[in-house]
Amino acid sequence: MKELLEFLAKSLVDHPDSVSVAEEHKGDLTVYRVTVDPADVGKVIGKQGRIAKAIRSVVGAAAHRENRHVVVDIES
Amino acid sequence: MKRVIATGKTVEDAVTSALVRLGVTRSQASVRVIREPVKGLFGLIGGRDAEVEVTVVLPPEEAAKQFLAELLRQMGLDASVKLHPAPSDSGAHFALEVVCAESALPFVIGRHGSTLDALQYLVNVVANRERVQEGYVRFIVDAADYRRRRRQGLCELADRAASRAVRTRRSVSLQSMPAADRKVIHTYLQQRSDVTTTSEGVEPNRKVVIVPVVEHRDRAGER
Repeated sequence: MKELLEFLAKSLVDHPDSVSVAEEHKGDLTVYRVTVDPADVGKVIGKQGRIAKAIRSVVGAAAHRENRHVVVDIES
Repeated sequence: MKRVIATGKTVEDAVTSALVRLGVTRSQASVRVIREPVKGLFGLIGGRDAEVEVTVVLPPEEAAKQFLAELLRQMGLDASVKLHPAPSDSGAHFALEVVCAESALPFVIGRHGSTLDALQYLVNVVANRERVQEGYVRFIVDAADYRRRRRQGLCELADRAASRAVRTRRSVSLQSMPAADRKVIHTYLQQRSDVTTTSEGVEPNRKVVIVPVVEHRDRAGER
């Protein structure tokens, strides 16, 4: 799941080397913090958060397959 | 994206050796010179080789296909991706078909196609990321003919609901659905003169409302 998020973020940004993903387990819930270069935040969030929404949707589907719940936060 | 860094006596030597390693021609690659060569004394002392970074530039449809295949793999799905020309009435250039086991389809498609739509959106963003001047290339992502079946199902639903609206002379509101699905219904019911359609509610709970066209007897007499 962490690799999936790293792959997605790196595919979208101009500075793939600045992408990092932190993982934190809170009971049944896993929280992922995606950090990107400040210049790339827009590329990961998108207009009206459309890209972020699509990322959450795809990651959610992958998590659902493993009967897990995930939250994805985006930070710079 | 594939890229290698190579060195050589001249920039051209370095590029050639990189292209050989990548197995592509010059026109399929973009070159960035990291360091110009420096000639040493008598060509022996203090000389430095040229260093270049060569990146394979994929056509957008190949980039899209590879991205989607890798994305599905990272999602833990055993799936492959086929590239097709898009149907001419779709307004898209290419269609990417996800081929996988039937048991994996619900995860690829999602509720009302939500995962399929997310995959499609991301594919379009990533494949067009470096295409500012060349024009936008639009992709459809589909699995197991879902999009056509969904459209057909929506039209049948619309017909049933419209008939009920006419029969009961009351508005019928459908389930909430994404904008693309609502549009299918609005467009489809345009061909019926006995109902009109609107949408009500706030995303993501916006729903189509089908309103029967009531013929007032007195007004009909005026016309």
